[in-house]
Amino acid sequence: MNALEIRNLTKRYKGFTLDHINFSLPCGCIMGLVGENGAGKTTTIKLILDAVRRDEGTVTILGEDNRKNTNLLKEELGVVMDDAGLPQCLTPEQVGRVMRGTFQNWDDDIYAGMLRRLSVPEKKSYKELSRGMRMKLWIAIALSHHAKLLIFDEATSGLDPVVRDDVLDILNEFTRDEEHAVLLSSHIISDLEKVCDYIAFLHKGRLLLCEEKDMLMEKYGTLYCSREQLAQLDPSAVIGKKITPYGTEVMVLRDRVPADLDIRPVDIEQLFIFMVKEER
Amino acid sequence: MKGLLLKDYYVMLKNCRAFLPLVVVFLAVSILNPQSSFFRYYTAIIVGMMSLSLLSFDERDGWERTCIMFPYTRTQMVSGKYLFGLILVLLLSVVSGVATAAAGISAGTLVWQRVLRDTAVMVAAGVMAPAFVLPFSFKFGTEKGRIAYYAAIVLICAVMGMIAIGVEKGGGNRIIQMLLSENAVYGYMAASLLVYIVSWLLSVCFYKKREL
Repeated sequence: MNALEIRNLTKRYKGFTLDHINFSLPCGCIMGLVGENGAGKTTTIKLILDAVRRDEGTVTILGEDNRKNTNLLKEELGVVMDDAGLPQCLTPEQVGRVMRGTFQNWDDDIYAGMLRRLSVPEKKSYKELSRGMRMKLWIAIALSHHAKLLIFDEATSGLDPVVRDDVLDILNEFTRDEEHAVLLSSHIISDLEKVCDYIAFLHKGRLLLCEEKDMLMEKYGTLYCSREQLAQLDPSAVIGKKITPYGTEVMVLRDRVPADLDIRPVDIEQLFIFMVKEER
Repeated sequence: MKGLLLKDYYVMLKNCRAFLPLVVVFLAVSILNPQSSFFRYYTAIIVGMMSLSLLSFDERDGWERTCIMFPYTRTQMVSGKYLFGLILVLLLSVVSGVATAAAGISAGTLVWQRVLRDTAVMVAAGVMAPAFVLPFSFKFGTEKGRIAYYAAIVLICAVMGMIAIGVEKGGGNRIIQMLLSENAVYGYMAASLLVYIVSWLLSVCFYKKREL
């Protein structure tokens, strides 16, 4: 079963269109949504949450249309948004009480455990917490009501590397349950590479690719060569290239280049950059 | 919905604490001096506008965008504010009524009809202002909503002024007397509650169409 299915999702704004996006996130998996600023990641997530009205397409969460039984569906979602806010005066302790009155499946023990694990002070008000602490509080909230699908929008960007690693561990633990799934949007592609099973690239409102990470590794590769060697390659094999006075770096489709060439494993960040630059 | 009301309660306790002494002093003055009803009604207006203040805090804190992630419908988000405001106004009116009655009993000057009329006026005064402001705020946001509200008030005052001039010229003193009769306050209370309900429905309608 798919935790999330998006079909022909379209949203038109003045000057920007999220254009017929299609992807599926199977249960038990983590999908990384990669894109530059303004690529449409947050718009996609807002459409999933039905916070903005879609112009076309469908969004299916755990087998249900996201516009039907919205409240029941949101019980199953744990969301952390980059621009989300809580009342400045609320302490994490009070937030816990508010959430107890919000989610039917709210679990005080899990919440207290998450606050301890992520070292979030219970008595400080939200305005006194640093950006990183606020993110940790949001992660604690998202994980404390037995959600089945987590949606994290730039949730790790304000965190130091150690905590980021902790959060990635938490996500890995979360998807050990085959009914769970995570959609993770981030600029920090190294984080996505560590945990994601699927990678989706968004660029200017269009989905450039959506593949299993292992398939990406099999399908694409990096070739370091001379200009002469580049000229001999089948043009359809070249995804992108970077030519410097010291040599040429080429992103290629492995099955379209001669087998005797030394193709190195693809770096997802590089692949994304090459694809975006080629689009330009 | 319980979570929304609790959140508003915490925010009110923290951010609107300054109003509490004001409300207590104004209520005490109006209870000790029955001629100064203005203070009593004014507290109702202050407390009634609390829901608008809470909406402003929500907007400042980004709570509106956050709330959409939680299992709340837009109807519930709007209803939370209306319900919270109504609870505050009713609570204040009851407390004021009970305190006035207690003061009247101890002084031997209790007039039940007056206590009930004052309570009814408090309810009417408390719900009217938010009933006018909230739909604008839910449609345009609190900043733009306030401007739209002032524009509407100017328009209403102009229309009322013209009606009053018309009534005076047409010899409508009887109508004026009827409107100012003592028992008419119960009608005002019922009418203002009706306006509050209509405003509630209108706000739900506006908020459902708003992109967050």
